[in-house]
Amino acid sequence: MKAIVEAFLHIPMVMPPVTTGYVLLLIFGTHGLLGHFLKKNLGVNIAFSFSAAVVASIIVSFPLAVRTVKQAVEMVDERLEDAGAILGASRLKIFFTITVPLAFPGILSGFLLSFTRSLGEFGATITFAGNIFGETRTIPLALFSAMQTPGKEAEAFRLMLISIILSFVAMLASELVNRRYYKSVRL
Amino acid sequence: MSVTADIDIKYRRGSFLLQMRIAIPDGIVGFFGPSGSGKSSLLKLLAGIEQPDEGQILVRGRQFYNCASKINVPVRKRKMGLVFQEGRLFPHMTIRKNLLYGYKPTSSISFQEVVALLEIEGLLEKKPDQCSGGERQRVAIGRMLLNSPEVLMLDEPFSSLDQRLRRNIIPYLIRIHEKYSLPIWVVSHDIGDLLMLTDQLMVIDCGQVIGSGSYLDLLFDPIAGPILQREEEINAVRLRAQSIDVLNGLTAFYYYSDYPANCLLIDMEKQLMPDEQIIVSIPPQSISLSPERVDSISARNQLQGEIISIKEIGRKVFCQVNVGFPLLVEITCSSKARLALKEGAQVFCLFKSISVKILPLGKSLVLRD
Repeated sequence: MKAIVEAFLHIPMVMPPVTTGYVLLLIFGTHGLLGHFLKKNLGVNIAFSFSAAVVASIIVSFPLAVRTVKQAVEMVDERLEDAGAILGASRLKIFFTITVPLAFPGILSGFLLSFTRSLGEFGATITFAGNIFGETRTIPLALFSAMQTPGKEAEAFRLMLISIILSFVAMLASELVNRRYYKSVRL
Repeated sequence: MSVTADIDIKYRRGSFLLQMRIAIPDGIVGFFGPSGSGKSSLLKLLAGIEQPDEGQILVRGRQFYNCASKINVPVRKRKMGLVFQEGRLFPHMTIRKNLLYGYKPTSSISFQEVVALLEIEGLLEKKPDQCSGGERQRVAIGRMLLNSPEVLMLDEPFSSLDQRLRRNIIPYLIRIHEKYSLPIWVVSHDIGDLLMLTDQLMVIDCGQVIGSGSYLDLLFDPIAGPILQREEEINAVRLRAQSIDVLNGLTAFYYYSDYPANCLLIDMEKQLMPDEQIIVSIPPQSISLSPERVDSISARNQLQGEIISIKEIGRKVFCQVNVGFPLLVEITCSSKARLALKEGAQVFCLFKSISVKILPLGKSLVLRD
């Protein structure tokens, strides 16, 4: 059962992003199951809005964060958690005072990795949120649009540079916190 | 002798079977056995980290585990103070926070008291990785004490420390036991270290307790004896000074005994005071026997006593001599025959001052408040 839940949670990580976007559109679109309900009762329209871009990014990149955080928590030395239990600490206290602080750099690294992945999201966003200037146009969408438009080569080049720099900084930060993490979980 | 714990358990993991039915006496008890004999598993079972397959565990009147009644008290509610070999201090917390982790203000033991007792005042704001092995070990013990445990259990407390530091922990443990009347169970595969701490032993082999009692009784036991005989035999005894004198630059340590003239001549830098306690360790191989006092000899220590027993292990002959405390002396078969040694005979035990290892326990240890 656990394996089925885990596999389900991780699907968006490996599924073609366009498929993810299409599934989201079927759920949150104006005629979708949830989209129709939200539009009718709360007057909220998610598809092809800024919210849609955010939802698409989260759905695609979140499994990466979940996976990294899970690994970070599992890497914390169980023997330290046993020591906490022997000292009379409840599971909750052990989790918040031993597990989380020791896994924190790993957790942070997971979220940074997930953030970097979301920056590059293209397929799900264009399918579910569209490519609306000033509203749902993310960096990769803007870069794609600039590439398609004659005379916008300079803009495309700038966007490419921004993309590379942002990815590099995020990966560097992730690497640095990861190193601290391995140091912290060592007994 | 009062009993701290009654244990009757069966625990199987793969091909390893631990099956024990024991009553652990009060006081400091040493669990000795070869590596992999089940000593550490026993402590984990008592602490609740591991679960027995069947049986029951009763400690200080509290039932922690009973398979038949489906009782299994969780680890955090057992208050079994297990101090691990590697200390297991939380690396992200300062020593102060580590010490206070399981501390409740209602505890009978105060923070200041433990810090002073274990001499860790200077470490409070440091992180564990800034402390030495011996300091970390003391902090781990202090952290457990502040949790007011029912029993203090130490898993191989000496093995993670170097030779110089490993015996430094012993006076602290004796101090804890005397101050708080706390039962202490120590697991070790080093008989020399264990005997400096206690004479009450439980010998474990292949997951079973094969003997319990004093070292000298167990050493000649047909079942437990062979396990103890694999290690070097040792005399380790705790003595209290009746009076202290200085003779030719050596400290003359007069202890309470039936032989008022008996005194240990030891080379100590520190000036001892009457009523102070020391742990004396002398290898039986370094002691000679003589029917009378010998003046023209370099060995300065000549303790008079009565031979209580003469036992043979293979080609070795061991005389147990009461010199105010039982002293094990190893001689050869030919010496035994030549001196015509018999039980009840009066003899002198001769040994050099440099053969004696001394561990001072300090005077504060005898204070009971």
